[in-house]
Amino acid sequence: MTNSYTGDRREIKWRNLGSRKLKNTIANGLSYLVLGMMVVILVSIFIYIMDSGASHITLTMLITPGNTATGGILNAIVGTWELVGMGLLFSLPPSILGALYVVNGRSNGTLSLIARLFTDVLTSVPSIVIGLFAFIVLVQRLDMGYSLIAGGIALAVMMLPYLMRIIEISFKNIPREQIENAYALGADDIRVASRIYLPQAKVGMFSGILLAVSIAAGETAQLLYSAGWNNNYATGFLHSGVGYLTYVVWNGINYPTTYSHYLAFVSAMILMLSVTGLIAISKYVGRRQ
Amino acid sequence: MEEKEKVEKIIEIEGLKVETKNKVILDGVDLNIFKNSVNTIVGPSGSGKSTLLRSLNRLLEMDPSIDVSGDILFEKRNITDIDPVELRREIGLVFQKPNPFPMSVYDNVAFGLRIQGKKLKKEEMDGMINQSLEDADLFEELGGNLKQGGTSLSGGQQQRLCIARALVLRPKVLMFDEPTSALDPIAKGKIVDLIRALKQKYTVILVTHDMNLTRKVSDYTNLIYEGKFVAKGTGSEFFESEIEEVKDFLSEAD
Repeated sequence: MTNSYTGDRREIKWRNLGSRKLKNTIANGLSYLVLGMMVVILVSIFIYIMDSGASHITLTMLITPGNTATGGILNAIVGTWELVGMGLLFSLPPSILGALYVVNGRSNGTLSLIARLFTDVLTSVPSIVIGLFAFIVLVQRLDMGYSLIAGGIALAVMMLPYLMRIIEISFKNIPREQIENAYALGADDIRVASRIYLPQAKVGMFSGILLAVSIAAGETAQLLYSAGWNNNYATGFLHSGVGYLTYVVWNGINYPTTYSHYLAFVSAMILMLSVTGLIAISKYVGRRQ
Repeated sequence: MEEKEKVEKIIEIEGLKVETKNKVILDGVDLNIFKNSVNTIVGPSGSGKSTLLRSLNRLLEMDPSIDVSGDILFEKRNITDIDPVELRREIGLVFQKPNPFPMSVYDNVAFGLRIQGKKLKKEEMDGMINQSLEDADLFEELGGNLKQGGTSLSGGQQQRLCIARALVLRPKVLMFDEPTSALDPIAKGKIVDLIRALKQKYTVILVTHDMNLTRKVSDYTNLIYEGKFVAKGTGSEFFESEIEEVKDFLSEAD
């Protein structure tokens, strides 16, 4: 009995094997080159910022407020997290509701499509444009002044599309049958949301929140027009400017004193560490899910 | 046929039409569901069996792309006059694929009770949950350990957990959508025994294309083909039917 399989194998001719190997090597080489360039750039920035920041940081900088040229940056650290918290407050509830609406399949296709288009467009609107909008509508027209609320809303506009998309993905990971099961057991929309969607998507949502927070913490342009600045702590939600770290980086580096440059580097270092930490946690949490 | 007239009808379906923009799924269906019996709906894949089940508890309405017309009477009341949440507690549904929630066995069964928002005493709740698990022939098998995760059970146990979850609401009708298709022969045997036992207390509607299962449990068998019922009869009547579609279906199913 002949073994046709072995026979066939012997007849296989590896045509163009040499040129395929060459193409493969070139493609792999280019990928590694680009990856290497990215790593070198990122690591250089990281090392430069860390070195410049760590070598000039003092305890006084961290525990006193200041005006980007003198004093410390505590007002900017506190203000950054106040603004981000406010942004989250304004963006998380609509993101959850929007994601539920899109995922639940109850809407007709057109409305979901509009919601998705709207969030996609929002992702690509330049932050300075959001800032300008916030300045005209919130700061001036609605007379909020430079404030926590105006800054929070401006950040929320930017956080919303990221949050909504990540929450939507977390919701979509829940098996459809479980949702149907819950409805079949007599659950209404609110109970399906509170007992199935939210508990099961909490890990994904948490990682999405961390990612949105880390993006928001590094924003400057829209805050210039909405939160303004404050040499001290914000005294209220309205008509009281807020300090934030990115402003210290932006303004401190333009100010002609060595100390203001130190403040800028220390602020940049704190921002960088916070953002890296948050992204690392969000990746870790996301993987665990 | 005489036997049928003596048995009380619990659901009456008249002229039920279900369609999407491009397709008619159920084309003017008439069907009676008889109380405390196993009412089986058989038919090839895509004939509209599962759609029919989902229209009985108004689960179909959740899909805006589907149009439903015709009348479905549950205990002589049109189901459109009954609140869907209430209706779904009266007409339970067990799905093809066992799908416990990622929580303990106890919490899985308690789910339906808790979402009703009724304040039940712990002893009362425990009693109802234990009874449902016993009715679903699962309590003893778990050795009373209801804290273990529902998803850690075997496939057959998960399916019986889903049955217990539906039973705890004391439904009048229990619908099974191909309940044995994802199970091994031993687990399948247990579900067959369970369905036989359940009809003493509940009306059972069974959707399947497993003709062995149908032979073993069915009191009334109905063949649906391309969105229409082409044959209806008691268990033995159906299998001896001379209707061409029944003969074709039986020969292909066997």
